[in-house]
Amino acid sequence: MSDEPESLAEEVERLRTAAAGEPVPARDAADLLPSPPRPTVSPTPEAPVTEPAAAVPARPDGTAINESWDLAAVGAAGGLSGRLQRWIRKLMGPLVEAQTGFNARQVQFDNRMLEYLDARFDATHRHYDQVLGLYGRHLQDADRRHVLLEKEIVAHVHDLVKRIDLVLAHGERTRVDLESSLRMVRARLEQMEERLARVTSSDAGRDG
Amino acid sequence: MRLAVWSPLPPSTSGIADYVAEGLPVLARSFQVVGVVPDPAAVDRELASRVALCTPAEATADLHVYHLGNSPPHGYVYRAALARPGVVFLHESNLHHLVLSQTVEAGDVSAYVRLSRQEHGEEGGFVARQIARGLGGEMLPAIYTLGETVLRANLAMVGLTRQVCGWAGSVMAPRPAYHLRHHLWLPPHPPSLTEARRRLGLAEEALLVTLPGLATAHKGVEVAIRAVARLRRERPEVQLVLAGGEDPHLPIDAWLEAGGLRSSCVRPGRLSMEGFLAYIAASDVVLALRFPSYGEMSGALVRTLGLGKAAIVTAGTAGCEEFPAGCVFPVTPGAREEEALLEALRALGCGGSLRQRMGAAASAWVRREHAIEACTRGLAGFLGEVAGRAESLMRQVEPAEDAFGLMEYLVGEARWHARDLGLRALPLRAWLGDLAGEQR
Repeated sequence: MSDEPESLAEEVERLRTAAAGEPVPARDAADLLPSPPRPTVSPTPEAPVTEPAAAVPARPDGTAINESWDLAAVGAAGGLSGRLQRWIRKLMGPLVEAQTGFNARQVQFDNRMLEYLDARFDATHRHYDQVLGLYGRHLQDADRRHVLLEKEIVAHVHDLVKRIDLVLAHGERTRVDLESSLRMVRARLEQMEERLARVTSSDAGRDG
Repeated sequence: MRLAVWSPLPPSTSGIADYVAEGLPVLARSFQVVGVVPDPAAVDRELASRVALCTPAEATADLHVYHLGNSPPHGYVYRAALARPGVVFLHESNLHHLVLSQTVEAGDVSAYVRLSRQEHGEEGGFVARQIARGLGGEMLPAIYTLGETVLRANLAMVGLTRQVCGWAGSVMAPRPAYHLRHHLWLPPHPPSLTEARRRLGLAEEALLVTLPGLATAHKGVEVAIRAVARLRRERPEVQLVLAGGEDPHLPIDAWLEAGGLRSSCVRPGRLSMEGFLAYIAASDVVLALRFPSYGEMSGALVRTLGLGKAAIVTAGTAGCEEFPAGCVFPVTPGAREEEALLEALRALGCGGSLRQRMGAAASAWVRREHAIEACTRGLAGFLGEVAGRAESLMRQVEPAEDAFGLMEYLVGEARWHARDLGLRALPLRAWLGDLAGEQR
């Protein structure tokens, strides 16, 4: 190889190493670390789909019983059979009145019972709705907090990955740099040894 | 001899496609060559008219050559190389992203974890699980390289750098590893600096610093922008050129904005080979930075040097170590990278003759040592030798563990445990044969 490529190599090496003594300028961490990633999180869980409520059975119709409790309102027929009916009703008067009174109280009781059941069911449903509402709000709140926590964890893990990556990259860059420098030093040492050997042999030749 | 060359071909996005396309017609002078591609009809017409093509299912040959790079377009080549021993043409020493595309991205996480464990022991399994979850960052796939399995399953390997050949050769030993220089391909009459600038509409008096090829995070785009921005404050005639496509995930606009280069940076986007060479020819200084590097050789760098341009490379990478000192300007990849790059740009951008002398020395070296005819002759000789020894080499092949049955599973499991204990090259097949036989 001629002298020219050797001197060129030396010049490049001299220029390359000139900057090596310069201190490494401090850099802000924000310059090195990328901005936090926008975390990907699972979507907020949707409210469960509820089956439509089954058809409610119709309220018992009390019209017929409310219209038929009064035995006195039952009219008698005309003619001989009518006279016979009126005679028997007169004869049975106390019993009919007692039955009519019982019928009236039974009908009133049935009506009160239906009103009671309506009111009781309404109160139970209102109570259940209140309990389910509170529980649902609690679950929604828990879901919201889980999503927030998930976002925080995802962002934190990705941030850690970037920090680990930065440290690994720095270490790896330094390793590549040092290994390269070591190889260059070895090469220069070999060149110097060769030159030294040449000088020594030429000196020995002159002395001889 | 019939030679099947498995590789993506232009217009594939893989940079290896251009390299193979340049070499195939020359290789076809020594062998009956067939290019194996997923879709022969999609290959560049001009190339298809000069080289026979076939699909993977139709590929029959005396010897198969598998061009492997670390990107998904090489997936079909990787699968074929695991299934049928041939010569692995390894373009870089890490196939991690390729393996990820063939395992995790195909829904087979366990195959990926198993492979990583086989190559790196229990630690590899742990790391693989993090990477498969998307928590590996950029560096874990770079540090925990993958590629040994495909090497073990083949007859021989070819590499373009000493770094790749040194590593792969130790994995495959005693099977042969061949160091082939990356060939130089240039048109007969490339444009001069003045012609190229005139054609591209670039200022004749500008000091053009070019970053060629697809701008990715591995090519030091950010540090290049910062260093050029600082130099431009001293030398307003400095202009940065991003001569190629850009990774859409990189905030290049923001970096340029921060450096005050938004309006002055030349960004032509993805280029044809002719346009790409014109931008190289128009440049004063070309940046070929790499970190992390997997021992790969940049075709753009070889062309840059062939055109007599001064190139700045990352110290410790193949781009630095494949050329004699003085042909390229190395800068440290360490904490001083920006300052070192700025110093290098100052040295090469000043009025002295260093830039011209470096370019001349590099051009002379590359045109002599990387000539495509000589490189391909050397490759042809090696392939002929491997074909002649194929029978004896076949006996040393270790089938890929995850591709076959119980025996391979047991060998794979035992191998990584043995590896954790520091035990290598154990006769596991002989020891586990009975066990595998009993279980069948």
